Amino acid sequence: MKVIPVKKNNYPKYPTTNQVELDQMLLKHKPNKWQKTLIASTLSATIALGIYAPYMTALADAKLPASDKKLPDKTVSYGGEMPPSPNVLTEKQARKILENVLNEYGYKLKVSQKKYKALPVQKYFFEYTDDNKGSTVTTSHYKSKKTNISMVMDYYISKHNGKPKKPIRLEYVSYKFATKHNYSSQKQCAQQLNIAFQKYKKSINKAFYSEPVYLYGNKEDDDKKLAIQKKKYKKQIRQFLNYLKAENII
Amino acid sequence: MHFTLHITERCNLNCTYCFTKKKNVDMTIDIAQRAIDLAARLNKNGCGIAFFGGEPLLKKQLIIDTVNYAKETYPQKQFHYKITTNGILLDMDFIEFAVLNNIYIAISIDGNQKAHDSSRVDANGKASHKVVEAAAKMLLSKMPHAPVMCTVSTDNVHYFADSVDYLYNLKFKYIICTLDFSGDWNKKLLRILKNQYIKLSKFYYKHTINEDNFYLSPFEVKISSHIHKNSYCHERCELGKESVSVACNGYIYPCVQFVYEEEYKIGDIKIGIDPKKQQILFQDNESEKNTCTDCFIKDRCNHYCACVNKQTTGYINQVSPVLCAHERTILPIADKVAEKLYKKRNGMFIQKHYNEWYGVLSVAEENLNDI
Repeated sequence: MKVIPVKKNNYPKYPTTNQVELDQMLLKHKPNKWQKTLIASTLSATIALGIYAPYMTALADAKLPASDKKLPDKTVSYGGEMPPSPNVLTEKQARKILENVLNEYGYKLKVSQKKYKALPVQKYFFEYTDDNKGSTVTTSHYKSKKTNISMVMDYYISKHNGKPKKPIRLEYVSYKFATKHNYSSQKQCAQQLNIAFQKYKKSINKAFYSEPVYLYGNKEDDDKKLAIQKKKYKKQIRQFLNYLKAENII
Repeated sequence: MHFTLHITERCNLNCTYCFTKKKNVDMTIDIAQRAIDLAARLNKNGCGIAFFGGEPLLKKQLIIDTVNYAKETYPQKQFHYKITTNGILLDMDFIEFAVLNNIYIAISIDGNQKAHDSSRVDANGKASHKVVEAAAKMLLSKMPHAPVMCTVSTDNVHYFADSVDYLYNLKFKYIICTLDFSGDWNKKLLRILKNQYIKLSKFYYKHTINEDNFYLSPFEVKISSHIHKNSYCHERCELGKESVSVACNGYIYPCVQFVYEEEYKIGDIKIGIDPKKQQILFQDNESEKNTCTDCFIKDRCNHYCACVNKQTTGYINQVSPVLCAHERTILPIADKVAEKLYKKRNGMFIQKHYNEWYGVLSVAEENLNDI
């Protein structure tokens, strides 16, 4: 008998914890018997509030996002206050940052909107032009009619002065959140899209996301966290625009 | 760092696959106490102490004295204890002592009577199943979460799935199955093993769908090796770093398989552990195995287990071919059942594998149901 390395193996079709951290909604699936047991259900809720934290701090630490390991002080017992929802950039805030960064790079944002009633999503277009570079930038924004979730913003850039070399399609992802829980889907979606985008040969695509942060009411700390959150979002946009510049696309 | 105390080399059974070199040697209370002193010195908050053998219950009084010594001498340290016993000498007095003193008792049963008695016999060849089954029932009446250790050997592999079913019906919730890697496995037996694992995957699926609380290794471990991808390496052997074995004479070795092997001695209870020797062994074991460089499943495989490698090939960094065959067999089967349960978004599966609080929740739920 010999040691035989496995040359090919199907990647398992169930997620890793990393993926689940990004999709906390998965944990809503519970055994039926837990749901039937009132106190067990209460426990599952209160554990999230840190009731077991004194002897399971390490687990609690692991559960929270790396940057926010401390649970809020007020969340300790049955019927206590809920931990705050994670804070993410609103679409408006994200767009504002985008505008600012585009300004830094000599672009100006001009917005116009169109609606597609026949589609299962509403699609809004935002157009802006960069006269210095001779480019037109169009963004589109989908909104699901069914769930009212804002999904995707696409950005198309094309040369409007003269003939474009070839159409360039840029896709950016932004999320508006359906519930306070699915904040993490934004990063997951962006990352998955970025991986998928890499496979496109004919288009240049990039997905952005904003990191969720927890705000505990200490203004100084909260402001710092929000500033870092915005900085990280800006950084993603800058990196992408730098890449586009280096490739002589814009 | 956890300490395994080999308190006796004697055993009242003569299992066909046992790797322990049976000698008529016991640990003295002085050596056990010095081992506790060393464990206390090396661990700020306490650590795990395992009583190992031979059969540790041949030295019941030594266990009791050692636990009492640790409690009285180091009241501020939190030691937790574990014993793996063959169950022959287990009695209610000892179980009650164990419950009071935070001693976790694991019992070795290889499954149903046929499976168990094919290997686990005494020196005269007398079968032990009947006695052990009674001991198991007694243990579970006081420690409902006691684990059972089931060794799958070439002699009992045919009964593997039935054995797990038997153990589950005996009311064991933690069933830990390990292969006797040193056995004379061949292609035919490995095919039988595969079929047994396929049967067990159905068992795993059925009981998960039924929302039963249970732990069945190696399924849990293999599923976890994908789910906890980044942290899985921490679960594997960290030779001589996470735990050490103390022989009856007080010499320290990196793991149970190396006891009395002079070249693997890394210290003794008087002087302590030689960090250089410890590091050399650790690095030797951590080095990438040539045979596995291109293997697709190497990050999910147990090929870093120095004990198994040493036992089967004679070298810690030479991978056991049986282990390799086993991992190639179990992984796709475990993945398949996990995929099926995940696809169903089965609440039990998801909570068990993705919720860090599952242990607390399931125990709470059980206790509440008992009220």
